[in-house]
Amino acid sequence: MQRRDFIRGAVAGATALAMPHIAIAQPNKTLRFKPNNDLSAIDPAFSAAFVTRYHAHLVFDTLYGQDNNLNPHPQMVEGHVVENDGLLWRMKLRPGLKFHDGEPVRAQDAVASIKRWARVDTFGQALMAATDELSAQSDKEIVFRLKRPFPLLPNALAKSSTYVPVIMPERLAQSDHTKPITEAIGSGPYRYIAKDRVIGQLVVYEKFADYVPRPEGRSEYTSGAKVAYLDRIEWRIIPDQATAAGALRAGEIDWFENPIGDLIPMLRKDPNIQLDLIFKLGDMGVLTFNHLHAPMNNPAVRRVLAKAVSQTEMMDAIGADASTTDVGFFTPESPMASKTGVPIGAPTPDYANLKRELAAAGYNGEKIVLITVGQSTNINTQAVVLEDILKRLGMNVELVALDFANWLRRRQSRELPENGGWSMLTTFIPGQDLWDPAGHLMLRGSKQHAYAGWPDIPKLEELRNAWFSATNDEMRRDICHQMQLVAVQEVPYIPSGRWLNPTAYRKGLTGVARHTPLFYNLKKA
Amino acid sequence: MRINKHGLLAYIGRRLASTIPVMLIVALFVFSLLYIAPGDPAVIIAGDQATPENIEKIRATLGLERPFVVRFGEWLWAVMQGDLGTSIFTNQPVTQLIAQRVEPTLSLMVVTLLLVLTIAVPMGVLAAWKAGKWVDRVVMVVAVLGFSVPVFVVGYLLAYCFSVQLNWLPVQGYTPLSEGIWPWFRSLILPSASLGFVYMALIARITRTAMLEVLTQDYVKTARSKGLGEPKVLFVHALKNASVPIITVVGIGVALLIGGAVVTESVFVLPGIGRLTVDAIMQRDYAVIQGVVLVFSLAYVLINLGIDVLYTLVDPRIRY
Amino acid sequence: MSATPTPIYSGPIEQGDLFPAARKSRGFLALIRRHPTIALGSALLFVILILAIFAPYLWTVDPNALSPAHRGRPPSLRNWFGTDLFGRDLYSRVLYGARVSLAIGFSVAVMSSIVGLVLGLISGFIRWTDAIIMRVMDGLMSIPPILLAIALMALMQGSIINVFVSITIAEIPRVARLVRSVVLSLREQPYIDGAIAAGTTTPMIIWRHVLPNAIAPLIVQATYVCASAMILEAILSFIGAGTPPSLPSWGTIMSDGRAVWQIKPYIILFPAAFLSLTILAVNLLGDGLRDALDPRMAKRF
Repeated sequence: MQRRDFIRGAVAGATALAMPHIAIAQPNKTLRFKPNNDLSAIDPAFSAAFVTRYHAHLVFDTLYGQDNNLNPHPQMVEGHVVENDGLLWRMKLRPGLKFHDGEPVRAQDAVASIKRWARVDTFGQALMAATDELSAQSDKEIVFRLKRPFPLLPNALAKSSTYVPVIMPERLAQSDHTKPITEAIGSGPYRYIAKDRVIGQLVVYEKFADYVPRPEGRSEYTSGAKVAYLDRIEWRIIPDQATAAGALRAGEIDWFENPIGDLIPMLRKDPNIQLDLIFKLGDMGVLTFNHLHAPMNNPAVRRVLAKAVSQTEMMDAIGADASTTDVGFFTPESPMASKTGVPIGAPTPDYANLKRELAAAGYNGEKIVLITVGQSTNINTQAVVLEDILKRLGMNVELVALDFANWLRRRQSRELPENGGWSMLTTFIPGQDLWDPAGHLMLRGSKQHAYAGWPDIPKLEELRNAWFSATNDEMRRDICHQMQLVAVQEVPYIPSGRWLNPTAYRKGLTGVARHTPLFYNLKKA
Repeated sequence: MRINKHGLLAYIGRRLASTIPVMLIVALFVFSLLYIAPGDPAVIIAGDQATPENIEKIRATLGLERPFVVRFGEWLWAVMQGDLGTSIFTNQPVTQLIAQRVEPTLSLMVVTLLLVLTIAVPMGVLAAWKAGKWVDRVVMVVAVLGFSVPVFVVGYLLAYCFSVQLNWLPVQGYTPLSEGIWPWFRSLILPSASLGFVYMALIARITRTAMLEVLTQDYVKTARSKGLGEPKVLFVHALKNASVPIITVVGIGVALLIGGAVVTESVFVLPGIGRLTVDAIMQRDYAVIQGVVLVFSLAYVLINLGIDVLYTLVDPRIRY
Repeated sequence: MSATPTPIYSGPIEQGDLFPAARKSRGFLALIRRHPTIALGSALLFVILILAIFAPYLWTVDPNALSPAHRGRPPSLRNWFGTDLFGRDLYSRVLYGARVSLAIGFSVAVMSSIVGLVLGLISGFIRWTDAIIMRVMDGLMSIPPILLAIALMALMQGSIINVFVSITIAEIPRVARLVRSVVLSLREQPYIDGAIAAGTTTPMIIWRHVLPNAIAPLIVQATYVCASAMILEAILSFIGAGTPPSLPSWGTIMSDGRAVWQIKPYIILFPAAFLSLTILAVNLLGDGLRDALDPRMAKRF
């Protein structure tokens, strides 16, 4: 520690300008990762961006973790005890947990963190709605007193997708919840090094020496022991795909989160590079509607459109190395998924026929505004194909290309499509997020809670609420089955296939987790 | 340009004073642009799956709702105290952000200029010396071709040959000067070459035309008749007198360089000011955009001033 | 990156003068020999214009017709330049793209010349406006053109009109300064004083004296502005702040192929070749015009 400080001081002295010091790191103890986007927010409860999620898993820890099948296991807690017919849950923190500022983790920190998280997260909101009181019985014990049974409590606290229920110091968790936290102090295996951060270029994490990995339980995904074998993690932000691929091949980076489909064959041929389908659940193609305005407020029109989309064509267009083209409304591997009624669109739809059906459904030539982000392959590819499909149906469509900021903003607009609003948009959502109704932001019917588009399908909401109260798996599956049937009828969005999008890293990197880029338990040869 | 006899310092002083209205106008212009701009940083910070409530929350914390005059006044006051504000995205002071990012851009420009001057000036001299012959024509056509090819195409081509295929040079990234002269230079070779390719053409042409004018002068004939070797005639006597227009174009070119640096920095992933600005524009990080634009105009003004001062050193006839 | 502005220095010995004819031969071939750069430049430009205007008749298909099953194919008999990542025929896209790029180049050149002319005249003749206008022009010039264009595009939606407006705004200052310097240098001339004394109105002075002198440098500058505008548009489209997807320009086509240029270089190479040739042609034309019209007038910048 001291020698590194000395070198740091000497080199810093030699630098006239304020360039952040890049520590003279040993190559096989440093990992250079290229994420898809730059880290824009360090507060996991503030931003829904994927990179913030990865950041959360590096710097913070959670009370429960998930295994590869997304089942919850105790992580920061030793275990839980359920009393009173499921109305009282007690859990104790395991020994040795410390924050990066040296303070021990106490139950009060956990309670404050959970409350902060539950403000923004849908699963958390459902949990707190069922909770009478959440408190710290002592420095080590957390107690949930519930109004009604909530058997999925550990699942909620194990959530690994947005928003992650991370545990942070009480003082940070209780700070103004309308502002993001200013320091990323967690109790995870790595520390966020704020002073080495260069926006748009570099994010740096270093091993937290005082982290105590969980002694029991199997190490899988976010559960079990999290060991930091690598001393330093660098996220290199390289926006240009071709440059990043070149850098991976040249060994300038070790891990490329998601090369686009067309680069995969080239990377596959390279003897130094390993392709790995860690996002086993893939990315689900989503074509969604603005349910507020015509013609998309007409379920009959939506049904015809759903039939016009060929999942095969969409996945071809994205250059998918591997894909699933018979996807329903839930991620195929999920126990909640079923084949009923889906896929709706045939591989080669009969457009002439569909045109007639469209007229019968009541389409009168209303203008359709399809918004896309020109520079984003994910969003734009599907948009361009969708525009073509709508044109094949003889519809009056305009494709509007925006930059990401404008796209996000316009998505929030309730105006008429021609007046700064929108009719349809396309995107990909990780399969992990469409696993069950808890996190599924697209299968909502309560207008304001969906990802976008304000769908008005009361039956979906009813079924969703029922799902939370269901007492066993079979009930839950059955409810989801019904949800899918409702979705096929009402079409809140069109599933356009699933893209199995591999990650690419240099051979010699071992321990890469499934589902999400995680940085503990990694080793470099 | 004979202004008055108080000399160079007074001239510099007056020039600096006249920069203030220019910069004020630039500041107002940029601030107004951003004020009416659609899309704001709140949506980006909030991320793709955020709800409208989240976004409102963030927007409120950024104070984006207050009136134009208030925000402009506050900002101007802060600037006069040397505080360029804080980045919306990172909470870092803009001055610190710029200081961090200045080194790569400056390095890129310096190395490009060096590269260009060492190659393009002799090219222009050669063309002027052999004016009318095929050497001249070839050089000039190559030169014009140089600034007809978009800089990113040149960049990609060079990166493909020298990095991906031959592995001689890094594909991307910047190594700071603090880590050694050679690694620093190595990380700048390809970017400078790409950027310089375009600029080389300009300099070669100007050198050629200026040299042509000069070579007909009497003192050149005198030098030749004195038996001085051709290289000395060309480079010592002729070139010195041709320097004025060359320096002018170098000055103009620096502004062009900054523009080209934006693309080069993107292709080669250099953490410079060009990329910082483009990213800030795309993310609507107002504080950074305002700060950077001010810095640019200041740089532009100072460079022009520096050019004018350089004239006096090179051509004693020019006096202020 | 902007193309070169008018260079300050231009000596008496230029290409044309190196072949002093014994007698000035007339005829087309002699004209070409005297001004080879104008000839070459115009010829190239003419060819590209023909390709752009007659695109629909030159064995092209709908440039926006996509076919994901045939994406990313290399050049073949069926697709002369290959297909892009949506299966669209590149040959057709490049030819139709010529329309967009040329349209932007020409229209920006024309509009910036007009606006720059007006501004230059105003600031040259009406002294009190000079300070204000020139400060604003200086301010605009101090921001690198590409950044100015990006910023303006970020304000507006991507449409061809907005691209045209952004780039024009970025190019106006240089034209305005040029015109202003012509006006200012003319004002020193004695015959202008004479004309004013004789009661000639300002519009008449502009018409009879200023415009004829300004027209030559203005035309030359316009060609450079055209080249610069085309490059700026390519860069804007390349980074995604340019023309909308329904109106592909060369920059857009290159942007589409950017991620795969190492494995499918033809997507970038064909539009890049066309763009470079067009800009080369315009630059040659500009150079030739400058040399032919008056080598010394280039000094006035």
